[in-house]
Amino acid sequence: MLREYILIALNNLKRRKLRSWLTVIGIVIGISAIVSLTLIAQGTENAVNAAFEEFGTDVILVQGGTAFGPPTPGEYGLKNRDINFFESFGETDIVIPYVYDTQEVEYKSEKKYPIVYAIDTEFWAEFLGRSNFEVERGRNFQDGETGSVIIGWKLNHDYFEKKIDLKSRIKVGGKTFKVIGIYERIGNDADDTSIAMSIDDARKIFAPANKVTGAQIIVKEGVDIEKFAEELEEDYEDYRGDKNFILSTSTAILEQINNILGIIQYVIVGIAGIALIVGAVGIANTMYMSVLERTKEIGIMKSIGATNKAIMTIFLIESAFFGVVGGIIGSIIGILMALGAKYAIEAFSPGLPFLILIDPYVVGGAILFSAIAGILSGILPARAASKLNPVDALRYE
Amino acid sequence: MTNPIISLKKVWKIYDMGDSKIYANRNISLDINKNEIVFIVGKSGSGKSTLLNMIGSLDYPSRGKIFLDGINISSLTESDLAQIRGSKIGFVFQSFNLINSMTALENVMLPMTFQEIPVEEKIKRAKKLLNKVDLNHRLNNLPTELSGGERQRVAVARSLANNPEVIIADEPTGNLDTKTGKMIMNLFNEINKEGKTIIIVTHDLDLVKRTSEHKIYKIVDGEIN
Repeated sequence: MLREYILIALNNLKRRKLRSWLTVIGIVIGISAIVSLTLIAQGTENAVNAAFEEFGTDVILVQGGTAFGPPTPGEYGLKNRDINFFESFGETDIVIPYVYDTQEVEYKSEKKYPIVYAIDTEFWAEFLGRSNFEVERGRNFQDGETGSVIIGWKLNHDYFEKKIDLKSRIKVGGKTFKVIGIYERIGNDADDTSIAMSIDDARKIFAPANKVTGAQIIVKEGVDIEKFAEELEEDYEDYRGDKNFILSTSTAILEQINNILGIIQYVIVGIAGIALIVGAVGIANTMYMSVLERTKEIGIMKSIGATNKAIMTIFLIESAFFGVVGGIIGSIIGILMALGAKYAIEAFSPGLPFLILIDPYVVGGAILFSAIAGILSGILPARAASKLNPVDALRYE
Repeated sequence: MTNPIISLKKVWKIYDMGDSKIYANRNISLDINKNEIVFIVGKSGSGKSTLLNMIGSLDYPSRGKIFLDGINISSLTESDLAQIRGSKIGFVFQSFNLINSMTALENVMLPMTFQEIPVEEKIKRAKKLLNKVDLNHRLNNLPTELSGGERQRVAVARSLANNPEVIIADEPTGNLDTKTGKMIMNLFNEINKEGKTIIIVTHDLDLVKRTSEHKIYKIVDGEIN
C-alpha cells in the first residue's frame, strides 16, 4: 500500500516542480556543507596522522629553552653532557642532536636570512627518513661530509633573484658551501627556504661547540614510549636541576592535535547544521502551503475513504522525499566540494598527503539525517492535513 | 417488514456560534430501505446538505443516532468512519470533486487504494466501471480535459469503485445542462436497478418527477415536513 501512497505523493510533487526543487535546494545546501566539511576535516586528520606516522612513534623530542615554549632559532638549551645523559638512559637506541638558527645567506651579492638546520651527518639517513624532507635532485650527505649543503625547494626557484642550482656555491654565515642536493617541495615557506648542513660546519659558523638546540631520542623497538618518556623526564629534570626544557612524544602531540581537530570539526559541522535547520524550516513551510492549497483535495480523499493515517502518510512521504533527495544531491555535491578542496590544498602544499576518503558512514549518515529532518519538518503540516474536517475541507475553495 | 439500510433516530445538528445556536437539523427520524431511491428536497439553506453529510458519515450528529446497515455510525471513531465511508458509501458531488492531477482511471482507482485493493484488481474494476459510464475512450484524460457531463460520469464510476450499498449524491445535476443531467439520472436509475440504494439531494423538482419509483423527504428549516 505504501507504494501507492508514494505514487500519489510523487504525483503531488511533480505538480509543483519549481517549488519542490527550491525546497530541495535548501536541504542540498545544508547537507553539502556538512558532508564536505566533515570529509575535509577527516582529510586533515589523515594528513596529520600520516605526517606523524612518517616521523615515527618511537621518537621523543627534547628541546632546551625557557619553560614557556619551544626554543627560538639560535637558542641552545641542551649541553653536550645532556646528550650523553640521553644516550646512556635506559632503552635509548640513538640520539640525534640538532641545531638550528637563522643565518645570513649570500648568493650573487643578494643576502637573505633563512633557517639553517644542522645535524651529525652520521645520522642523516635516520633523520631524513623521519622528516617530510626528501632529496629530489642531487644527493644526500655522506658520513663525515663537510662544506656541502642541501637546499629547500624555494631556493632553487624564486627565493633569490637568481636561481640556486646543484653545484652552485652559496655563502652561509660568510663561509662558502657547495649545493649537493635540492629538496622536493613541502608547501610551507619555512621548510622550503631552509638549508641543511653538517653539525660540524654549523659549529664553525654559528653554533656553540658544546651546546645544541634539541635532540631526537629514538628508543629501542618494543619499548613503551609513554612510560619511557615519563621516566626520562623525571630523571632528566633531577639531572638538569631545572624544568627549562620540553619533552614530547609524537603520540602525545598527535593526540593533542587530533583533539583540537575534533573540536574544530564539531564546530564547523555545527555551523553547517544551522544551514540544514534553515532547509528543514523551508520544508515545513512548503508543506504547510501545500496543505492549504490541497485542502479541498484532502476533503475529497477523506470523502472517498482516506483515513487520517493515510492522509498523514502521503504528506510525510512528500516531506521525506525532500529530505532524501536533498540528502543524496547534497552528499554528491559535498563529495565534489571535498575533492575540489583536496586538489586545491595539494596544489598549494604538494608534500601534504591530504587524503579524502569517501566515508560511507558520513554519506549514509548525512542522507539518513536529512531524511529524518524532512520527516520531522513534515509532521506538523501532515498532522494538520490529516485532522481536517472533511465537510469543511470539501467546502474550501 | 424490510430492514432499513439507513436509519436516523431523532437526529439534531446544532452549530454553536458563541452567543447564538444555529439549528441546522431538528429532530429528524427517517428510515431508508435497501434499493430505494430517496430524494431530499428543500430550499438552499434548509439543512438538506447538512443532513446528507451526516447520512454519508462525513459529519457527526449533535444529538441522536444514525445507523448504517445496523451499525451506529454516530459513535464511531474518525478512522472507522472513514473506513465505512470508503466501503459502504459512494459520493457524487455537484462540482464533481475529481482530483485534477489524476486521470479518469486514477480517479476511479483512488477509493480502492484506500481499501487496500491490489493494483491489478483496481485497474480491472476501474476500467469496467468507466466502460459502464461510456468513458472507455477517456481513461487517460485528466478531468480538465473532460466535459462537465464526462466528469460527472467519472464521479459516478468512482462512487461505485468499492461496490458500496449506498450512493449519496448532492445536487448531482446542478452544474449540468438538462440533457446531460438527464443522462446522469438515467445512470442512477440503472444503478438502482442493480440493487443500490440512492439518496439524492436536489432542489430540482423536475428531476424528481422524471424518476418513476421514489421516496421524497422535504426539508423546511431543518425539519422534515
